[in-house]
Amino acid sequence: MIRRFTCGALTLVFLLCLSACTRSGSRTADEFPREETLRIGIAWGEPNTFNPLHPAPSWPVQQEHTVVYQTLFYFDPEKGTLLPQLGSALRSFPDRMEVDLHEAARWHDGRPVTARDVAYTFNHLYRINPGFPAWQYLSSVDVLDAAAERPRTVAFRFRAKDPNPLMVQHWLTLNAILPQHIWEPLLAAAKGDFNELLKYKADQNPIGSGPYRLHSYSAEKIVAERFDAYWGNAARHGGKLPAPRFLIAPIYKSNDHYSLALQQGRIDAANTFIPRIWLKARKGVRAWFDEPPYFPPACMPTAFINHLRAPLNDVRFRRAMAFAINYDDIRELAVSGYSVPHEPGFILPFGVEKRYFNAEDAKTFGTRFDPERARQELAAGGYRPVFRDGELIELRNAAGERVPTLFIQCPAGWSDWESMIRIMVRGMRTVGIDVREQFVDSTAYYRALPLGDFDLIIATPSPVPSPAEPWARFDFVLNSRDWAPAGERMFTNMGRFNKPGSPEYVPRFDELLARIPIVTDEAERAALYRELNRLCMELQPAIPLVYRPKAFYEFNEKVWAGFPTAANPYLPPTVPSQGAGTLMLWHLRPAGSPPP
Amino acid sequence: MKLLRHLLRSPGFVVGALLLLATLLLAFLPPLLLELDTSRRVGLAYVPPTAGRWLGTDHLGLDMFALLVSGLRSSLYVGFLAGIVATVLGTLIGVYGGYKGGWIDDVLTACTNLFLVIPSLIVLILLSGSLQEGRSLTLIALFIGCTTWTWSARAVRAQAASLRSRDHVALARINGYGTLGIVCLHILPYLLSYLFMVFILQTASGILTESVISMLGLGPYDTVSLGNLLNQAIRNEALSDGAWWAFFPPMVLITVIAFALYVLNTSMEGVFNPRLRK
Repeated sequence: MIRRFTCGALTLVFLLCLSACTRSGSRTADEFPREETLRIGIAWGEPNTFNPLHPAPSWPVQQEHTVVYQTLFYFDPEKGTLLPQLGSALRSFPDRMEVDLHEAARWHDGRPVTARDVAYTFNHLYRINPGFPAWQYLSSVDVLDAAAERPRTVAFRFRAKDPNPLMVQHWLTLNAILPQHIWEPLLAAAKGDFNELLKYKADQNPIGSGPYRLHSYSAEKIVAERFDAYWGNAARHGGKLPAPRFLIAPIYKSNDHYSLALQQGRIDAANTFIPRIWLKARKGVRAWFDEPPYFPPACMPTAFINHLRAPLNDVRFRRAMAFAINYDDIRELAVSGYSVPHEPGFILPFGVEKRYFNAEDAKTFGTRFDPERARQELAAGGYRPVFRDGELIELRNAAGERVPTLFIQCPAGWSDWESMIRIMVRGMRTVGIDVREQFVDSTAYYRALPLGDFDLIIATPSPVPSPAEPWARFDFVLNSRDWAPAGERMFTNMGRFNKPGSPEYVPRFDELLARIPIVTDEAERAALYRELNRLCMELQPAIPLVYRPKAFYEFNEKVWAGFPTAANPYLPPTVPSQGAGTLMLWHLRPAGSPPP
Repeated sequence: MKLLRHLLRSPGFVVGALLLLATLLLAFLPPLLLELDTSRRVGLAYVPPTAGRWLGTDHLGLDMFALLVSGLRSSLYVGFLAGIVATVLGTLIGVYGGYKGGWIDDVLTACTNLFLVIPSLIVLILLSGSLQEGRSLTLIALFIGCTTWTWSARAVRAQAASLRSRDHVALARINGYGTLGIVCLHILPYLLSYLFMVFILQTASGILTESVISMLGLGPYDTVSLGNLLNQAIRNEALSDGAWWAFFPPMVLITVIAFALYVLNTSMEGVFNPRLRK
């Protein structure tokens, strides 16, 4: 009996010890006092790597997030301007851009950030990284004051063939600068093999230049701790420290989990889709605006069409699909009205892009919800739907053959996109187009997208705030620069539109895409955009569905106050680790304390 | 008739039968009397119930009552089909093994035990998850039936094994009946009441299993079912938004159907089983 009891007690102790052991130096809850911790709903899935060169690293290292690694500039999408980060000045020339680094910029280990670090990062790390296409626009990155003890000026020279200052600016706001003294030995150890370099997880005291350092991580959360010796505190913020000592990104599985956590005050800010946010206001959840559309719309989720598959390569069929979609339903139901009414084409009819939008063209050439026009387009293309008892049975083409059922794909669990697809399917089946929903695991989605393994797939062109818009959006949908057959990877134009050399090839698209970035005359640029948008509306390479923010931005002021809003727009609406939203960390204050 | 009188004297049977009848009426009567459309938007998302729309709308502005009726029919279809598959499969294996005995029985029992220890829900989740497209109600029902036949096989086998040594079976064998004839004419008739109870339980289990799979988002996504309605309610935050009409009615219906079928089974056992008969 005593022996059995002893065995039981020992087993219990062993299990308790086991449960106490967690990965990578994580602490107990008390070691992250709530009043010193800002909890952000931003991390999806268990952390895999913190290597900033990886195509999909975990928070806080992914593109746009600048609390550990910093870029040269922030982009403020509300004002369309660049804000200084590691860079302090930007000068534009016809053939290059020159950037001055801030003289105080330092790495976490105290060494100065120099122009050599910038040149090394671009010339050696991003150059061999297939996931960073910045080198499509660059011919060289040079240190201009190489003889100086601490060189601070770097030149980004454009490619002579198709110079594109818009995209170079874009990459200056997105590509993190890495310390040469850390990454050069790592690259040497990997023998220059980029895939080998990607195996480095960068999770043990990584050296960056930002205001926080990676502290610990587990399957439940990722923790970043304030780096009090951050150079920018003195140089940019008058000696002030960021208010939260810890940033924690708890890991949840889906939008509704984040929504619940935000309502309960378990997280302070999030960038996930939360439906009907006005109903959550009573629990303290707020967004940029306190009334519709609640978020500033800035991008357009789009249905990409696989142009290599019949009948999707038929413009009449594509336009029939576009006419069959009820865009108002998508706006009101799928995205909870977080959008203004939809207009055809790829130019936003509001904000800084409004000057390029032509309402007359949209009315003449655009596709709006019109089931009768959809039926007419189908009939004109020789398509004949077969209905029985009001239910679509099949669709036959002009040759009398059955058109196979088409599938519209998106990741399972992305509830707003799922709803969009359900509305699309409903509209298309009503007019006789045989389509169905296809909700797949997110890994399968990200594999299918670049390989072109889909009929239709939802994606957001130019998904991050960029000074290159709307050009970047058109480029994402249309460019045939790196055209690759299905099965090979394409990171833009995944629908394989406008194959060079094919009978359907329209060279004007590529001419316009090459011309717009170098035009300086605003009237000419507007005319070129108008022509490009008109061509898109006529040929329907993809179907823009709705406007939505680049990233959602919600917060709850139960623990922290001072989040920017439309009434107090001191920073753009992004969570406080993303882009210029990072600067919010110096402005937040404990809830209940008086505003400065 | 005597059996029916016995059954009707059981309050459990009457309650179960009435509840089942009510759900069947709810599934099949409204489409004959009302114009129910599960694809036409009738309002904004999660509009509360009104006199015109008895159960308001779902997250896509569709009539929730129409969705509920359609979902109920789908769930009943899956349940009955899964019940038929599981009962037929289990009966074939159980009766044959129980009657034949010897190494055939050993092999079939070993197979049944092997399938029994595999957690069927996990297998179902893996199977459903691996099918990216083409998940249909029929396929889900077949999956459920093919993974839940084991305990009916075990139960039927025990009954068949006890019948094997009965005199009338020995007489049939002496009279030259083959295995098929003996099983069909001299064993199965004795098991009919038992098989009916097994079928009822398998149906209830099929409905519950489909609801679980669909609620996890692994059901057919181009069809409405009670589990799918719950899944959509969870995904689209009906609970936190207080839209009870999106999740409460399907939840109640699943509970009522499962309860009705279990009560029917229990009360029938009380009548059919001589040891339990009062």
